[in-house]
Amino acid sequence: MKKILIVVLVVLFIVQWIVPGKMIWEKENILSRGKEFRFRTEPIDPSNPFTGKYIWLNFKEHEFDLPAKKELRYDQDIFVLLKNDDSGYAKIENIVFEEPKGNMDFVKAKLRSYSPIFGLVGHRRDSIESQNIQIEYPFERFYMDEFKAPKAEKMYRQSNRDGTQKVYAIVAVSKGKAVIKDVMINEKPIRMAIEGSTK
Amino acid sequence: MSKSFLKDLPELIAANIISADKAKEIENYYNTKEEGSPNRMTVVLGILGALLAGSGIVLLIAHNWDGLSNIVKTVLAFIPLVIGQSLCLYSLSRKSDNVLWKECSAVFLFFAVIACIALISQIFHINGSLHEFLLTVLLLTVPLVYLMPSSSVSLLFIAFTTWYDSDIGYGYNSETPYSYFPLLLLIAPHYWQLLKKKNNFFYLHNWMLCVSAIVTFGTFGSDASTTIIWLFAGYMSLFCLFYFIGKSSTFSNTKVFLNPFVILGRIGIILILFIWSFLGIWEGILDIQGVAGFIRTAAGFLSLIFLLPCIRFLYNSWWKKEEGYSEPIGLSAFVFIFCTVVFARLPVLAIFIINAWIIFLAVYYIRLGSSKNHLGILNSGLLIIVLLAIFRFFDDKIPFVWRGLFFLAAGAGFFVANYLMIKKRKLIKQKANS
Repeated sequence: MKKILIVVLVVLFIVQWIVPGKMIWEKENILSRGKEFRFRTEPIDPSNPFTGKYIWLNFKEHEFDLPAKKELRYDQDIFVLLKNDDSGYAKIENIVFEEPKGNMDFVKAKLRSYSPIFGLVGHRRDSIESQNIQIEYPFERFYMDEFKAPKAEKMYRQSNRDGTQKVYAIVAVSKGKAVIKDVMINEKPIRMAIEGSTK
Repeated sequence: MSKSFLKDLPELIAANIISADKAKEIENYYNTKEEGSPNRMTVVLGILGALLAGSGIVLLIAHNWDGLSNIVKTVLAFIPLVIGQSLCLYSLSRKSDNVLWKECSAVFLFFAVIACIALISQIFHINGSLHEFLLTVLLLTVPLVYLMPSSSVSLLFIAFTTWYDSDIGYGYNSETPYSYFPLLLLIAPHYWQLLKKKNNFFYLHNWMLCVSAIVTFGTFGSDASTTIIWLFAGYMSLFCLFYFIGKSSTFSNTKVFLNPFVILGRIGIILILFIWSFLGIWEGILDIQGVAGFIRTAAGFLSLIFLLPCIRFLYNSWWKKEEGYSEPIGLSAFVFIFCTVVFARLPVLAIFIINAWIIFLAVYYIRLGSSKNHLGILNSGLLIIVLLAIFRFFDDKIPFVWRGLFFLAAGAGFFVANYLMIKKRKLIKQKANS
């Protein structure tokens, strides 16, 4: 009986290795094979009880207008088709509800919220013309040292007043999945930028 | 206890009650027993130590060590896991009779799994929600409850399941967490084993399960926000069910603090009755017809299910005259639901019945305390009256004169009842001495 228990325990241990191992393998695969996109963003600093402090990335490309034909629901899966704009930042090309086939660059995301956009007849509201979709990307968190995360937000707010700040996240995208590589402030990795600013 | 017994052995040998050989056998038996199973305090301290050490590792990891490379962090993520797994393997193979080793190593591994997944999530900036994280941890650690076996992990499992379902069921965009039941079913066989042993872990499980049910029940009525009164009715059914479970033959002979069903059941019932003894709260109900809506929610359905065993318990106590269930507090769910269904549009009548019911319960406990010569029960009845008086003090719809008289009567009742009880006790003592 004891031997059987030990064998089952070892099987459990293997499963306990496989789950985080699979997470690592998947993410490494995306990082090495995925296509890079640069998402313009602003950092905000919240916290998680187990994984610690992170900056929440509020992406500029977080909404899209769709024709008001499709019935929508909160938290449903959506597929965000991506392209690069003229200045080299990620731009939403379209949002579809079925997984795209072929060699398209897309990210599987969630529908955070949606609101109707009404057409106007003169100054009066007409019927719903389109729907504004708010997107929840699977890469909105960037974990940082608990003392650096609040500084990242503060630094962004202070230096963004002149409007010339370039803050973006480098995201590797592969087959609908995505992993953040780094967050850059004025072409410098955010961790280095903070260290530079505090010296 | 065994040590004091061992001290008496020479006396027992001298009195020829046991032989010297038998005394040696007894001494050996207790010595080997102590070596094999550490005492209760050591187990408690050991588990607490493992809990603190495990939580410490989780917090250290949550700091996010930016200075370390990803490879170093990945290796670090697996170190607590390897230590925890090695300790568990060692405990099961070499210390299989030692509760301390098994419980501590299992608790440590529980937190090591949390630390490992948390660190991997950090390294790759994984977005996942808190409840997804908690579910992964729960499913990866629940087998330890049976394999080690570990009751501490079972307690942690209940606590984390409550957290998991609260994260799903409360707040913005919440959903009804039906997963609560299958998750709890995973530890049901272990609870059944504890029920047969009735050790300290059994009583700790009861406390944890009661608190978990109270916290989680609210999530099942989250979609009935306009009919808050029905959620209270549901809670009332839950507390009455607690009360009857606590009074059943399985728990009736346990000490008061080892019976959370009765303690929390009584407190919950009285608390809800007090809340709904205010006129304002009844007048605030805008949509009483929400009963149909509430019945369609999981909380409404559960409330009906909770009431069925309550009816059965009542049948046993009132018709079959079985001991234990006869306190009228168990009827409170029916009184409250009757008021909500019949008098919701007549709030004055509803609060009259609720207040009258509270006074009835208070008087019942005063009488019970008096007849059983039990100051605790007597004063609990008086405390209910006093609390009711305090709450009515703030009720400006009742004239000052009536409130004043009620206060005077309650205060006088307090002194008179205690005085009579103490006098009665003295009389009994005098009779016994003479």
